[in-house]
Amino acid sequence: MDSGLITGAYSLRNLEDWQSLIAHNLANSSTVGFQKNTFQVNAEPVREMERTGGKTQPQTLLPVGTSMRPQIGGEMKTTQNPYDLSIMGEGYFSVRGPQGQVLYTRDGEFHRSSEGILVNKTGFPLLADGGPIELPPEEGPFTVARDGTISQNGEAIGRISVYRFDNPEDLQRGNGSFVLDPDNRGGARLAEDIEVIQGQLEMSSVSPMSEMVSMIQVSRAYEMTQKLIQENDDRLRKAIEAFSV
Amino acid sequence: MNLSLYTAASGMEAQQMQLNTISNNLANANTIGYKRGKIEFQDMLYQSQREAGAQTAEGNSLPSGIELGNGTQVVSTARVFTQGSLSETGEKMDIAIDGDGFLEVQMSDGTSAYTRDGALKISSDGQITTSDGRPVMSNFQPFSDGVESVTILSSGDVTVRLGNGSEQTFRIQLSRFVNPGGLRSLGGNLYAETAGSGTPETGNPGENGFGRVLQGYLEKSNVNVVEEMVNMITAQRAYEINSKSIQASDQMLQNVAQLKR
Repeated sequence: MDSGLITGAYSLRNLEDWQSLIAHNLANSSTVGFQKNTFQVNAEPVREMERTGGKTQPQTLLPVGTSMRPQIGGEMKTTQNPYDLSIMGEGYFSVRGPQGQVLYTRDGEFHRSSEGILVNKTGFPLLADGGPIELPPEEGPFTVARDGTISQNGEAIGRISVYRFDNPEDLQRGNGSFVLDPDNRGGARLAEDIEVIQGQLEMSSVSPMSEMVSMIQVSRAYEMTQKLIQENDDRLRKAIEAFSV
Repeated sequence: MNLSLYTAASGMEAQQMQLNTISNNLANANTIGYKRGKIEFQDMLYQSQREAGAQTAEGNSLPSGIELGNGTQVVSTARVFTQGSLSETGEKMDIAIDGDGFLEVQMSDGTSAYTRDGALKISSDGQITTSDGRPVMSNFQPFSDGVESVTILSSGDVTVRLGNGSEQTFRIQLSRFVNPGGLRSLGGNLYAETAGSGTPETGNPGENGFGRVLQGYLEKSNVNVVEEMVNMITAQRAYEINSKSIQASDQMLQNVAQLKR
């Protein structure tokens, strides 16, 4: 069979995935703490064809796409809101999910719940020293020191737990700006040398400019592949015409 | 296919909501006691086509997989209860709360609402009301006839001197919420209690973390116009750029349709 058609179809599929990924990045260009995805296409050999084709046929490589999550932070935005926190450098905040699991995020927009607990925007408590942190309103405003220590009324009440990962590529993405570390494959460990800043938010790491450039690349590659498939189709049609009686 | 069409649409919708919030903030830039709204986004569910760490035919494990996201979602439109700047009016019935606390207002159906708008008025029967005539509770006593002067101390102690030489004294109480961001906005500078805000706690001004009461001042809105304008530019550009994703996806679909001649 004509391998050009298959390669072309594979390529179109990959480009569609890439386009979806770009659209997702762009849709999240204002999501606080969002970490962009990048797309990478590798050529993978088709071994069956290689064997039957022998040395005279060129090796067929099919494009296979993978998404990557580079550890690049977004820009910092000063908000002056005491509930906005950001981590300088690597690391993730940890919150407790609804099933008791630990979720990791770089989204530093927090609130105070009706019980006085520091929670994220979906109501999951921020973990400090492994547990939720309570801020009674009668103690007045709270401050977060650079090393992550939360104090209220001049008294330290806990230190924000910031985690880093040994194998960040094994983390899974969860709904709502979270990353999950199933079975501790990512190797989460509590970081000591952390820098947390209060009144500042890390914005999305998406750069609309580079996404637009990628989008142009995708569009053009898509058009080219389409032409390639049409050419193949034409060639097949001519062959059929020439050899049919 | 074309997950990207819906993904980009979710982005446009989110930016539209962002713009609505910004417009409302800007429209209320001069509203006394207004607290700016803030919209919060999160990314949506991911579809995993090929998981990282999966085994390949050769027995290696994949270093990275394919995760395709579904766009963005608005999770909350919270209010930011930071202190607004105080402006001096010299008006005896204008009060500003410097710090935590709300004035309690009685609604026509008998329920309570809460406000930071301290532009108070005296009704014809001596009742203290808001600008739109709703009675203010917060331990305010109706004034007797012939008020000569009103002094409100930062501790909330009110002294009303009457024309016949007698004095009327009482102390204002403030209400406070654990999470004011969770209050429901009723319009008219009023907020109502919800399960998210917690129940109100009352206390004396200037004690236990309650704010002070300043007579002759009003609290302006905490909207920062420059910041809102910058946010508006970002929202508009993000909207535009999401529409480009839709155009690109559309173009791709068109190309597919042209494959077969």
